Amino acid sequence: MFGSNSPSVVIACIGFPNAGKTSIFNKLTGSHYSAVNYPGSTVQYNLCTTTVNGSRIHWIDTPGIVTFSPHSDDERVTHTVLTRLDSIVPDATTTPNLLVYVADAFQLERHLMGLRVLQTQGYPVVLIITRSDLIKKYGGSIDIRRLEHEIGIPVYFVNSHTGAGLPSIDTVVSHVPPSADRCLIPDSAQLWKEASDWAISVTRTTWVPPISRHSLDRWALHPRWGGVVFILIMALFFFVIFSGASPAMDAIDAAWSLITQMLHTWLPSGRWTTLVVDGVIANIGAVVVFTPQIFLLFLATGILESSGYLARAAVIVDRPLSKLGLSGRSFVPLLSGSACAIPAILATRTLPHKTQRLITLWMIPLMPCSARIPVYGLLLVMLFHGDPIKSAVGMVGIYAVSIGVAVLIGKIVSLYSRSAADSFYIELPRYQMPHWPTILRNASRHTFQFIKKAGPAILVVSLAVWGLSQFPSVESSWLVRLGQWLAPLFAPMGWDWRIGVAILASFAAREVFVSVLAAMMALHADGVPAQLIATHLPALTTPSILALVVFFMISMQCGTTIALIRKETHSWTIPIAMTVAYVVLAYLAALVVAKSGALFGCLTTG
Amino acid sequence: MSVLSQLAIHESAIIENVGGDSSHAMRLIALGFTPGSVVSAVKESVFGGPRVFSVHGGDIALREFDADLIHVRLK
Ligand SMILES: Nc1nc2c(ncn2[C@@H]2O[C@H](COP(=O)(O)OP(=O)(O)OP(=O)(O)O)[C@@H](O)[C@H]2O)c(=O)[nH]1
Ligand SMILES: [Mg+2]
Repeated sequence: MFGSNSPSVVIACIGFPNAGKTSIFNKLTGSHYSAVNYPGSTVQYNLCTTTVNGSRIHWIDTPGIVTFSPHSDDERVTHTVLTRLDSIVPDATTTPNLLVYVADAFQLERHLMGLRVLQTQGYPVVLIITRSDLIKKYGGSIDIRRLEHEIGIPVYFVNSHTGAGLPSIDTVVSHVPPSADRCLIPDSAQLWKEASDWAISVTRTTWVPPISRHSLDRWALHPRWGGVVFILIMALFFFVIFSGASPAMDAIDAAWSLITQMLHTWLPSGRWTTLVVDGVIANIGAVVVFTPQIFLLFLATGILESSGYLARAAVIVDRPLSKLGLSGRSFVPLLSGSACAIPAILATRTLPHKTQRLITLWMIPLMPCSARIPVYGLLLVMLFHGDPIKSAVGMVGIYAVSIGVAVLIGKIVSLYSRSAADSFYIELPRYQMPHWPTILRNASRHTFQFIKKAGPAILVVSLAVWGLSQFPSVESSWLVRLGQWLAPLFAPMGWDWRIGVAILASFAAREVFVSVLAAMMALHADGVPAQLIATHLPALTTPSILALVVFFMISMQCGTTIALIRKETHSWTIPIAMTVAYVVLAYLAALVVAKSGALFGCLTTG
Repeated sequence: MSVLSQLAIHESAIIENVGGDSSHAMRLIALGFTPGSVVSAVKESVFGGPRVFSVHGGDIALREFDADLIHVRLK
């Protein structure tokens, strides 16, 4: 059917936000992209290639779209797939060969409007309706054969978690027409009005709408208690992450010290053993200890994402965020910034207004991302000597202050930018129980990626630190000289030269701070196991520790973030301004905290 | 004729037309606020923020700005 010289075949998943496109795409192609119960979870296209009967077929998943006249960058991606596909897949025609239109069984009438508009524009379409597993439970039904007859295209009713009812990829490919004429008429209010009349008429005889009372909304969106519920959920979210992980962290910690001690007894002592055991293994251990927290963070995020609550949270915070010139739509990018800035920056593509996007981008690097967890973890151990409850409370406090700083900066940026638009709408998805297999897989994958990303940086930096510490001689090594040269910069905060070196190294990756400190303690305190750094550090005063917390809260230390902001804003000015502003501000804020803390200390003791 | 934001809670109305600039109006229509369809207010706002409306079987939260653009006839 498809010759070797003809353009390759592309089949695109299209539909309204949260219809189930990514879930269907994953099941069809065997991929594992993240499917989230929030309208606007996919913000870039996902591409996958399969071979069917000897021809290559490209499958493409797209961000959800409301109209076919895009107003945000994620919708623009879908629009490009629909109208200028060859700019994404070079060997394709300008439009997809077939659309897999995905619709939600609970919203069939509304979702069929989009199908109709696409059909009017001449796209060949097959329809996949999701959530077959839920419809009966809620008293609904769909007469698929009759619907197929009414619309005149193949219709499938599927459970996208199990794949039940899903056509095989061969079957989908067999629906690709040999050629088709597209008349790309732009959509208009009139077109949508006609589509709505049509959707009402075809669903009248074929669809019994399931009753989906969002009963939890009685609390989640209660005029007065809604705000309280929101704060409780957020506090619980962070508290569970930081207190729930400590048993597993203690276990890893113990295991790692055992390993290093055993290696010390087995291996002959000397420079190279020090390198391998204290320089590399112990340093990696200092960061691996924090993987349970990172796993829990992604697990809790996954539960929150799949529950459907995020859209409600966006509604709750819409009013407060409007004071910053933002809307509820900025909530999800900001929240995901508390795991990692990278997906958060991508998520700002859902924001329709440039100004809103810019303000949100300025706030994201201040959100307490997971790379800061090891740093805060270590600093909290110093502050509270390992008391798990106090540390968890302290961590929640750090998060609260971080958010406060982000809001302050957001306010300042909003004062200097033209006012953003006043519109905000969001569809409220159904509440849903977490789909555990997906959530666990995603959490493990993210944790693994964290280790994979941090690992090489830690390895390289700890080798460099070791190298610098050994030559020309241990007593007056380059490391010591570097540290002493840096010392005046950090002395006002009460940080000694080793902390200065660790801060310098943390600009490679924040978590490196912990491993470098571990390395230097091991090297300069007669082979103390890295786990004991907290107790072996030269006594830091409470204000100096707090100053470190504040420094890491504000400072911009992630190269990937800077590169991605430059890519998404198409400008160097913004990321450079951001980096300079946040590094300088971090230093000054740390200085203020250390000095005022010291002053306060003098007053209370003297 | 009144606008959607004036709808009392649990009250329903029929959408007459959608105002505002044309691309925004089209967006609201595509969301389900199509002229002729029945809409009802299902949730009071939290902190004076968006309110939730039910249309074509879906729940959609709208800021007052958007709800003011949708003209309705009370049933
Ligand atoms: N129970 C059930 N849940 C489903 C089904 N299909 C999708 N979901 C859930 O619906 C939510 C949305 O699914 P996605 O696949 O992310 O939807 P999408 O269309 O890609 O959404 P956007 O990328 O935001 O436009 C997820 O929480 C899925 O687990 C289904 O057949 N049954
Ligand atoms: Mg998706």
